[in-house]
Amino acid sequence: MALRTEELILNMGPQHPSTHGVLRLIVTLDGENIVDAQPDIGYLHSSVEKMMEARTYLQNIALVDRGMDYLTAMSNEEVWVLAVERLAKIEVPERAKSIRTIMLELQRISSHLIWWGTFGIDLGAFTAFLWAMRERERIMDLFEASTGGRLHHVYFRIGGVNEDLPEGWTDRVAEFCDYFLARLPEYDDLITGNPIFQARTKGVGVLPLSTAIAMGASGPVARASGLSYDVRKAHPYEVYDRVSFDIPVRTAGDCFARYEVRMEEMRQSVRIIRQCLEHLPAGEIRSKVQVALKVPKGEVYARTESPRGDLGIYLVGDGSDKPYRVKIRAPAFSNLYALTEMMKGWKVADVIAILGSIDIVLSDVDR
Amino acid sequence: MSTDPKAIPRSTVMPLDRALEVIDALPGGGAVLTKVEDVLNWGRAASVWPLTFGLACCAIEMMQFMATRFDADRVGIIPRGTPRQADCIIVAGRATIKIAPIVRRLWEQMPEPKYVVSMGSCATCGGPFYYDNYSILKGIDQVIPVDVYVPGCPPRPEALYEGFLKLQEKIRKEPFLRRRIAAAAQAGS
Amino acid sequence: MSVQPAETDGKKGLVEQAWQAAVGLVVGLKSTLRTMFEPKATVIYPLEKINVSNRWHGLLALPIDPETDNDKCIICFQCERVCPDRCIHIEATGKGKDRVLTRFDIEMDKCCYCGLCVEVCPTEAIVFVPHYEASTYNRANLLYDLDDLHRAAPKEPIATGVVKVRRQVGGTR
Repeated sequence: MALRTEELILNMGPQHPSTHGVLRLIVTLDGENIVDAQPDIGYLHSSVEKMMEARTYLQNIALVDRGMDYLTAMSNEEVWVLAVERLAKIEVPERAKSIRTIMLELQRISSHLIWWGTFGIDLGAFTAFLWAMRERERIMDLFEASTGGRLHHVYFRIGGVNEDLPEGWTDRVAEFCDYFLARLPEYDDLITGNPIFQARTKGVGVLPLSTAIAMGASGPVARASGLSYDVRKAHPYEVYDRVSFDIPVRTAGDCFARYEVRMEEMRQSVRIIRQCLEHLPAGEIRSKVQVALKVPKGEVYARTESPRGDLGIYLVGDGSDKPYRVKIRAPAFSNLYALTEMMKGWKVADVIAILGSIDIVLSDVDR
Repeated sequence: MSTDPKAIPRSTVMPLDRALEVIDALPGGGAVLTKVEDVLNWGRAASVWPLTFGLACCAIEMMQFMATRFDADRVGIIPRGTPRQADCIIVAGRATIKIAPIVRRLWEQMPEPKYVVSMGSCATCGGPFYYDNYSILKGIDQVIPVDVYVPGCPPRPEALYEGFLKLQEKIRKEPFLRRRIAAAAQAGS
Repeated sequence: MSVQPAETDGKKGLVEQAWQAAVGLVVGLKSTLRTMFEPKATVIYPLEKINVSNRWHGLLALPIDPETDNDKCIICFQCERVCPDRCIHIEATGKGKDRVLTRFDIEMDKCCYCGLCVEVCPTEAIVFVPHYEASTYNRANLLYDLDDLHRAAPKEPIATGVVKVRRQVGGTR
């Protein structure tokens, strides 16, 4: 006689220590095997796109920090000012471009550090969290000294940056780069080389290349599946066309490949920062832009590579000092879309590993 | 689920409370109870266990607060994953109208006595999302009672630390045994 | 689709797997042990305070100018206009040079500490103060009026470098 079985629906979240915010996952289980996993989003929907229509272009810099992906405030500012500068045809001084690149890469390291620490916690390694936060505090100190904010900076301005770098800041960044590169082998000792960690991530949550492209995945998730695409190379902005760096690509498409891609990205970020520091030009940091900037009629799409992937803003200006319409293309949303495909067929214990490996930020998903 | 605060019993009267009522009535019993209360409050203040419930940006600063540099563990602030083991909920970040019932439910699941720390501008009153917005709750104190407000966007980990020191001070001064006795007397009468 | 890790490692024996796990554990523990002897990263907060950068977006204040014994505000309403959260409220009476502030409120609970008001102020009347300790039991305390903003203007940062401060109210007893 056959055993009578039925599927079980399990709700994970919104309050769950490992869902990285307020994500609810509706997991359909057959025994321990995942039949289906549907993310329920919208718990952090803050209607940013609508709010931006009621604020001036300058005020929106303060808003995109908080309303979009909060782990990478600089990337949000970057994509916003890039869109406005392209529409209003504003030139940015060379020094400001270099400063922006340094800030973006520091932000990338800090964002990946948060991911590394929380991924460690998800898989049961608490030391990883403590170490990642220790390094991140140093980056926060650097940010605090130059921008005045720890998490939200409001540092980029349309046509440049707010303030020049403080004295001795570049030396501190160079010192941090040396320190951080010396720390990375320790990370490898602790987590990467650990057989238990490898057993939980290698071969788990495979996302084939074709599915990754079909689902619109971008950033490290797509690069781990073998898609060698980086907006910094494909559509260079700031000074990315003048610095040399590699795009880490893996073809396995599993959790471990995504892990490796991000670890390598941190090394490449350090490389970019060093080149920028070396060739940091002197001069103006900000071109003259009035406070109530009026942007001409027209539309523009700006895209950047945020730590989570291809971040874009579609901006429609109507000649006034406020945008007519803003649409944000959030990388974490598309990556979350691919989650269902990754999870099918795995055990319930792998849910957290797969979810942690795509590095979602719910603020970016919901906006 | 009811959202009327009066519909939820704040504390249930236990046999121990009846015993306290008797001790309080004895001559000199009040002084003894005050001393006992002081000791209990000292213990409670030294182990405020918050629920790890990050909503938005402030959750990252909350993580920093519990991690290496500020190390909340050394004053007895140990994050717990479930509301049943928690004394305190840190509302870290903006709460949408969709998440508000869940925050309320988490708060209801916590055992008495329980405390709420509202961290950052968004949790306090909606902050940057106050105007022109249709989805954010204008302050978490519309849903749950808040004990300490920490301003900042987001607050530094030290600022949250200061908020917790304020909360500990509040717990230390709290006449919670007296409150139980009063509740028992009210229930008995 | 589902290639389980156990199957990929299935060729290795159980003993070999256990041995690898043990080696990995020892390598990891070696690095944590090394970290144990490094200088401590922890700041004992109420007793020690780390340096706050002088650009830090702390609380807002209207410092008193010692020459005129008043703040430097010229009532131009620029900060009120630029504030993305609309948390600054200014009212004034009089005309021309006799104009005086009757109300200058900042809702510190609504403020997002972005610094746009500080940036646009032509006379540097409104400034950031490198202070952050303002938590309160009552939300009404976070509405800073003119007196509060005058008083909130301190002369120096809350700490310069890691300093020992006196044991405060509410410290660990």
